[in-house]
Amino acid sequence: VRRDILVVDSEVSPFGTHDRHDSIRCAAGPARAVLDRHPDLAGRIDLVVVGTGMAARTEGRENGLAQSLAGVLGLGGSYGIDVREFCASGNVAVQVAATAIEAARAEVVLVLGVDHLVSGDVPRPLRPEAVGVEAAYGYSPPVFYALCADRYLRETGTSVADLAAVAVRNRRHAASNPNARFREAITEADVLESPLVAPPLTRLQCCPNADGSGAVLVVAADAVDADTAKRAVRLTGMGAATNASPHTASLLSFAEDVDAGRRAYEDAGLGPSDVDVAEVHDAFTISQVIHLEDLGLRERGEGWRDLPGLVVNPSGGLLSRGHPIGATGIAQVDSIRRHLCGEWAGSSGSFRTGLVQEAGGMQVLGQILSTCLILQAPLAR
Amino acid sequence: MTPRNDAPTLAHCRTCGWRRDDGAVCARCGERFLLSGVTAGGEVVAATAIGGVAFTAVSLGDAITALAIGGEARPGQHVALTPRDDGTLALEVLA
Repeated sequence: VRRDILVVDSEVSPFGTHDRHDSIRCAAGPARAVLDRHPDLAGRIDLVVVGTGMAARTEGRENGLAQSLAGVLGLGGSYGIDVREFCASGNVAVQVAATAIEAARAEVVLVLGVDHLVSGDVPRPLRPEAVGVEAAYGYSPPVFYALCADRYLRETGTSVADLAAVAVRNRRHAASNPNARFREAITEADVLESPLVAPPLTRLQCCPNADGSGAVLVVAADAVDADTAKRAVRLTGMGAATNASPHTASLLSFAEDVDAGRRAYEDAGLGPSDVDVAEVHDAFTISQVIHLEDLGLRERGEGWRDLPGLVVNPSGGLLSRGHPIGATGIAQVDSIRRHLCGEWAGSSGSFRTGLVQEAGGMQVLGQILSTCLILQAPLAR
Repeated sequence: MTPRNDAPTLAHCRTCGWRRDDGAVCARCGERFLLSGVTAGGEVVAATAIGGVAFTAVSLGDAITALAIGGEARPGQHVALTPRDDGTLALEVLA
């Protein structure tokens, strides 16, 4: 019998510029907020998982970030695991926690995500290690996604204004997110007239860097009291997949997305039509479009449309929040948890099923991971 | 020009750039070679540029997409691809 897994609580730091902070101090803030609200569980944490994409490069923390945080937080008796999977580090960290609980190797797990990409010592443009020999010429994520956008617009008849509208909607959502780096409304003209990064993508179609962190408390349902269990969001599905055929990218769909989504849906016993709120990895406008289509949340060629029945990136997405790599997946879970609990400002509280998706690495060159979580509303909301 | 992705006269591994001249699998990273011989070709399906450098996605058939760097080509055009010594691909528009 599979163990039921709950997301009891979560917290996210402001995403922006944290002068002179480091990852330890940054991540400790949201962690302490969560632990202080659950003193009964704080003393029972047996695993700390930390997702970070860049701490090794920005702070020289090659190893032991989770161990250090466990020590700083006074979580004696626990142990730590660092997760480093590019932009998907936060989501994978949650999956590591859930897997440990399912295997009965842990009961109460503190999952953290953190990166400092503005105040950290980050070479620009930011390039993952997977970029390969093409990096010397400037090949980077914006180039790949610009190629995707160029082909998508051409083959679907979607306009550049349609694509720009994705950024406009996400920014509108960010007005309700006090932790987003950018919250002011923008127009399609703002998006299209912002500086060109790689045609057809302009700056406002590319997510900004940020410093930030987040914390999620994940527990076994049978390890907490009945009242806590009834009020917690349920983690009912998870999936992850890599693309083993790096040269088969069509630029219109990512096989790893399809596989990760299918596994998560099967895990939860649900399908795309059950999802009514989703946080997907909008590192670029076009990536949101393709992820939604790959996950079955939009028809092919219609991922850019705003349709009733599904709210997408209600926290503003990476395009508005900013993208402190390891913290992004945690912020996504925090958003969906609050929306499912009716805690998010302005949320209708009517959502039943949420989806979280992240992508990490680089397509085409063979190091790409897509991850997906299915969360369901508390039984006693 | 007809793309021949698994021909025995392979020149470079598309993934790691390692040069080799026999078989269909890279001896260094295990990836399948993308290019056959010195030159292969296909249809441009997308193009962009950053920092003054052009990047072009070229369909080689069988859903295989190659990334060419430099040169100017528009979607729909057919191009020849030639590996550079560092393993990246240069393109030339075919008449």
